[in-house]
Amino acid sequence: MTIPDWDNYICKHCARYYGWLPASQEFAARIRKNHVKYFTLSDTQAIDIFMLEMEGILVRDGNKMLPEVVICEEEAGKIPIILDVVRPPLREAVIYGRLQDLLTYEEADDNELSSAWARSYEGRKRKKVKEGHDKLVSFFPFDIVNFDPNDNLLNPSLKNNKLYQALERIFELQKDTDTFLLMVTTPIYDVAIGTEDKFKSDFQRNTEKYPEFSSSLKNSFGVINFNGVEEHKKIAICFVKSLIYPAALKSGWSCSHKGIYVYENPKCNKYLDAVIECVKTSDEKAKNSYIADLVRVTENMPEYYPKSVSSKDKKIISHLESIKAFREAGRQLDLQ
Amino acid sequence: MNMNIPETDQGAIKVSEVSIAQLSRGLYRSTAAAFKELVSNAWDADAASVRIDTNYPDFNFISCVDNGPGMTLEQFLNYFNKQGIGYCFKRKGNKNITDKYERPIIGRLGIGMLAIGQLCHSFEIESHYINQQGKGEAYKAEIILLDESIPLLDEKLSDKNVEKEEIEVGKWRYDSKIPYDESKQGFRIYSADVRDTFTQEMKASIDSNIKASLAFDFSTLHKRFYDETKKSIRERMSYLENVWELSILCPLPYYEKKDYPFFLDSFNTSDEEFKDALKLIEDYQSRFRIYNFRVIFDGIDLKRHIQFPTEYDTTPRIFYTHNDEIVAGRQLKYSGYIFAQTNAITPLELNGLQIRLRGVGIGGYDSTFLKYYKQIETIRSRWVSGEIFVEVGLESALNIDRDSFNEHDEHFKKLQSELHEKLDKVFNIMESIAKVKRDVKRESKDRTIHENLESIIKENSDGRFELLERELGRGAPLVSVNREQGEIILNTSLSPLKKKKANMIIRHIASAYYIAKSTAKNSEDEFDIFYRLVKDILAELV
Repeated sequence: MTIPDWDNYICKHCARYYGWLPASQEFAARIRKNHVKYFTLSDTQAIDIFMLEMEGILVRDGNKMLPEVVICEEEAGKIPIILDVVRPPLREAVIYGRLQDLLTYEEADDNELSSAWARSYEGRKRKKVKEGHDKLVSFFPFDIVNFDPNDNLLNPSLKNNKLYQALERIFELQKDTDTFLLMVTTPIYDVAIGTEDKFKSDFQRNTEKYPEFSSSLKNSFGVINFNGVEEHKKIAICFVKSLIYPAALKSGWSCSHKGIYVYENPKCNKYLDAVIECVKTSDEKAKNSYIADLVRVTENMPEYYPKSVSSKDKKIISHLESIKAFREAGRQLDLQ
Repeated sequence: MNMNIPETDQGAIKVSEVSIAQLSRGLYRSTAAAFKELVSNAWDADAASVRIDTNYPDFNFISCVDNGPGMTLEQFLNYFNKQGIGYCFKRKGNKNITDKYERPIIGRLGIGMLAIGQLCHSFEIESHYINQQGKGEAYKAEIILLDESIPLLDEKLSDKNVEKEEIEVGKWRYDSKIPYDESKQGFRIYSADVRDTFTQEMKASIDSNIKASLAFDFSTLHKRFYDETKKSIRERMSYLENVWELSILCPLPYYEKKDYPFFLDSFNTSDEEFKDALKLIEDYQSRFRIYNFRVIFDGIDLKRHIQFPTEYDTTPRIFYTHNDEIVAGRQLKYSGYIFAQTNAITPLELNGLQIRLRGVGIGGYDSTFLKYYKQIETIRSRWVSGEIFVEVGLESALNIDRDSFNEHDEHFKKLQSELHEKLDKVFNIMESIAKVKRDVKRESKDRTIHENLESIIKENSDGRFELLERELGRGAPLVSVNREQGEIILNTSLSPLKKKKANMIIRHIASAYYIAKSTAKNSEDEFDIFYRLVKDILAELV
């Protein structure tokens, strides 16, 4: 998957500005912590980090460090850039490794390798995965998890999708908190056939099982059949119903979607970004809240930002510019 | 006689592959010395900055990123494939300074890049550069130094075919050319395959207290840690020691806010040598500003943060040394300052002489002063710290680790003898300054004891006795009592022991005996007075 130039990716910033930012502000105000614990796959430009810092959600300490920010990066070559950009060193190191590998790592995988670790190049690589896993797991729970891996949750199909398994693990690992904010991003232009089939069958089953859902479909789209709903809207509904809810429910979380945003990348391919507030709950309560949430999603979401329109959104352009200027000002201050 | 071996023969001496292979095992004495080599490469590449990161506080990743012109793919292939390790193109055509900033070129052998191999088992390279046609190009490569598929060097050396084969010390591959990115212009070397020993050592040196107060601003870091160091930088443990050592070794200017490595108001500014030394520092500072080079280690912008004197009231002096002559047919030119105070310098790592070749510190401060035997066993050697900047020559004396010298090289010998001559003068002057100070101090102590004894005598004898010191000659007793005149006289002509201090103690204890005897009302009182006096004397003198 090609990496966009985040600094000039205006459409993506629509999701940050209209979605991540207000939800994070509201959440941070509610939990009233000095330092919000934030997990991110920020990539080298770290726009999300600087946006949250500029808006006062992430606060540097007396040594100019960001104390509760944990970054994971799979490309070794990007780590020095991140360390340079986020400056000065974070209180915690950048965790090296592919998120899905780190979160789905299982100790049993490495029993045979352990004796050959020192000498074997591949063995040492596995050891790094284990170390990255242990380190990352030790940081849970977070207040805000930004699951924006520049990879696809919808392809391959869910059963074989390691990234989806990683998302499930996040819900599990958040067990020691009562609430957190989750941002999930995925491309939706390349959906695996298996995923689409699952979406379709879940959709049909739910229209039959939950009258609230079918009536909200009818109110919003005039139809209740899968094929009759506009592509990005039905993916948003299915994303919530078939991906988020099962993963959350498995670990005892109820989800309330603060917003779903669909935007286009520079090649006009669509991406979906969901902002979800998760609250620990009993199974029965969760089930009821899911239906209400699904109805809200069906009737009010997603917000759509096509490239042709959003790339000219002055408010977004100026906000993105101000983040870059803020980031640069910090660097200049360090150089003095 | 073996028929294949001629009776006489001659030929050129060759270097075996094995010798070169040994280099890949690592050459550098310390972590900082290995990092210094990477810094030197960036300096030679005309980079304006080099950034080293260790992924603090996990230390499981090392990167060195410079913004120089990068290493072309051709150069990479020459180094790893065609010519092999040790190939160096930096000084081709008698080139002695860099193109852009006109810095003196440090590297001579193409082994600097392998310094990272001392800290990790494999590493990656990424280079973004402008090719000869003016077009941007980039590539990525990976170098593996330890794997099951690579024979261990010791195994290879014991192989009977060793002399015939090329020694494989690692594997390399460059995957493909990648898109040129102007923002990444330069050379990057990084590794997530860091040796556990490095990771563990660094981690162990950062406890929760250090972590809580660690600053990434060099000046604050100094205030919080290095300025507080009572004895040795080692007290600060590996990580902070490494930061400090690297800052001292790298070709960097002095800490800019102070401008000089000296607190100027501590010195006699009319002293000629002081003026010369100051001019040397000024020249050095302005030259290094033009060289425009920064080393950023874990976000810390390193500077040579040296400040003398390190103790107040030490009567500090600065000496200047300079030489420019032809030695063994080659020019040797250097200048330097030698700072001295009459107390031990802290931290002790600043004690000694630091030889700087082309701006780079070689081997840290040499506390043997290049094997200066005359005074080295005495406490006075701890009073001195100096930097010698070698501008021309001495390179032939540099050992392959770039961290020590061949002591029998003519340039080294010359430098050594000149510096020793200078040190003779330094130590003589400092000794006479210290002697004056010691005498003043001793007189003051004597006075205090004398006054104390006098007041005790007066108190115990109701003013009947007074204490006097006189030169009564060798025939007279050590202490005499003249009851009629009310005098207890200490004979300063007598020295029963060799040491002046010991004589003073004996004289005073003897007087205590007589004072007790002369002033006590009874035998119990006599012992009490004697005991009290001895206690006071020893408290003052020992």
